[in-house]
Amino acid sequence: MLTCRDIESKSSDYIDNDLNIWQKMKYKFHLFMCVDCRRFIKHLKLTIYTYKNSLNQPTPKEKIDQVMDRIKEIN
Amino acid sequence: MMSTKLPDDKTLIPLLLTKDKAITRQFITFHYPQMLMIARAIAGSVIADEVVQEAWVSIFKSLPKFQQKSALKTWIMRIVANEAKTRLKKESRSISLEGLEAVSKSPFSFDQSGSWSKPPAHWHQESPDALIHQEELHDCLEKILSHLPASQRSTFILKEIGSHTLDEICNVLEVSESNVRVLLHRARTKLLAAVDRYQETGEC
Repeated sequence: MLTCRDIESKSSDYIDNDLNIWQKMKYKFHLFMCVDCRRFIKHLKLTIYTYKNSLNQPTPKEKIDQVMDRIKEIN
Repeated sequence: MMSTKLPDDKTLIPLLLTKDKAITRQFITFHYPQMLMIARAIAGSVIADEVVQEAWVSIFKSLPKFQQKSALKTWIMRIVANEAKTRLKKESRSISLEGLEAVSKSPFSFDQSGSWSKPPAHWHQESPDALIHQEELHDCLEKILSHLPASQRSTFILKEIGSHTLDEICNVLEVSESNVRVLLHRARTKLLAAVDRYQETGEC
């Protein structure tokens, strides 16, 4: 039986779907039994989602103009 | 937030090839921030803008030959990563791998039986939509990411922003796959620990 420490250490492999079937089964069994680890996995996924989806730095117009200028000459 | 949505690749590519000015500008504006992050992650902040500019020239030169075996976005992220790596090599620099030494430490602790010493924090805000609109939280994640060892930061950005596979990250960073896994995992859990702290105390 996996421990909570195992769940933490393998969590990236789990969310990236990189565990084999047997490892995944053991992993899911622990999650089914353990509310703390379920919360951990949910929050780990949410953290990644939040970062990926909240990029908030508009590019200065001049940078875009520079690219537009440079690609003008390409045939 | 991402700017206005782009049309799908099938509609977009012919428009780009005909040099439709408005759509080209929209396309560049849409992808520039992510490309800049990837360039920074590999080649550092000083030359990141130059790398992105060069990458755009390569993209528009190669676009007529693009065979659509992958999504257009994936293809352009590969180009900027390669451009950054080439530039790094030209300058005889390499990405610092200092992060590998400190990888054994997890931000979480466990008792002797392997159970959580302190169970994962309860968040008062778990709605994905609400989370992505919290500017302070985003600034906090940026701050934590900027303080991570370069190798962890680069791995995280290539995976999550550049959608690179672990294999591709190994090639770009020239580290083994097992090291990439550890670097990625450590970066992710450190960011999670920061959100835990933010949710519990309101501070980064």
